Amino acid sequence: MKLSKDIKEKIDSFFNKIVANELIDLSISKYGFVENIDIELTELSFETINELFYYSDSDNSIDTETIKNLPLAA
Amino acid sequence: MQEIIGYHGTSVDSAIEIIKSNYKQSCGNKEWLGDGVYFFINGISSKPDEQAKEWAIAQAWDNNRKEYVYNRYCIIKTKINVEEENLLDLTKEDGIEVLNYLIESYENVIKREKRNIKYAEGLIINLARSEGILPIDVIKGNFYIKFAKERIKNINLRTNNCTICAVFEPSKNITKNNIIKTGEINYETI
Repeated sequence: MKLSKDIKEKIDSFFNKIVANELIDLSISKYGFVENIDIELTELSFETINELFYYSDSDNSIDTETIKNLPLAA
Repeated sequence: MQEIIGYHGTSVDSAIEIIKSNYKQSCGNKEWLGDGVYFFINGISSKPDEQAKEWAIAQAWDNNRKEYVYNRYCIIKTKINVEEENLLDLTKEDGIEVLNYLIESYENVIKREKRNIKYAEGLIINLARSEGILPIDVIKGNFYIKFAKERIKNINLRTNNCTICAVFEPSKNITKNNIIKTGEINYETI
């Protein structure tokens, strides 16, 4: 497959007809895309802290060795 | 029409099922080439059959259950036929140009929303195929794949070591399967 005129037209045709919101919703709900959500910090400094340790409860990292995809193992 | 010879490493039990009733359509890895059945093929390595064996051995270990789930591996040699216009070859500049244009077009639409979407080849390829944007039946790509040694020693490189291909619809593009090797997994030598 090459980026021929025909292939370009196919790609353009799809993306010209879809609006941003619709594409994002489709990507996330049907295809599993993930959105990075940045949290805006309003308090950027503090004087004291009560916690001695920090535990992340939002670790989104993936250990690829734990992914189970045995049926399609090449 | 292009003919590709692929090698698929799996357990003996899975191999018997494949020989009986061909591969089934599978959900794929979003970090790789999307949905499809995966094969090691000639490319970066001239020994894709060996890589299929190493993969089957590595996949025998279930990291969640902390145990081996099978102790006999099998390698299937598979003949894949695909028309040039249905093959997206990401080992070549032509294929990469198609992927880049696809991502650029996607980005041009979503930038109006100013939202930050994480990309992965597999996801954008699945979208392109399923929404009828591109007629992709088979995809090839070069990747760094971790086998048993790399997993145990936690070796992570960026240098690609494998050429793999994904076949989306096995019944359409796979014409022949042969078991070429079976063997016991000797866990002490991994």
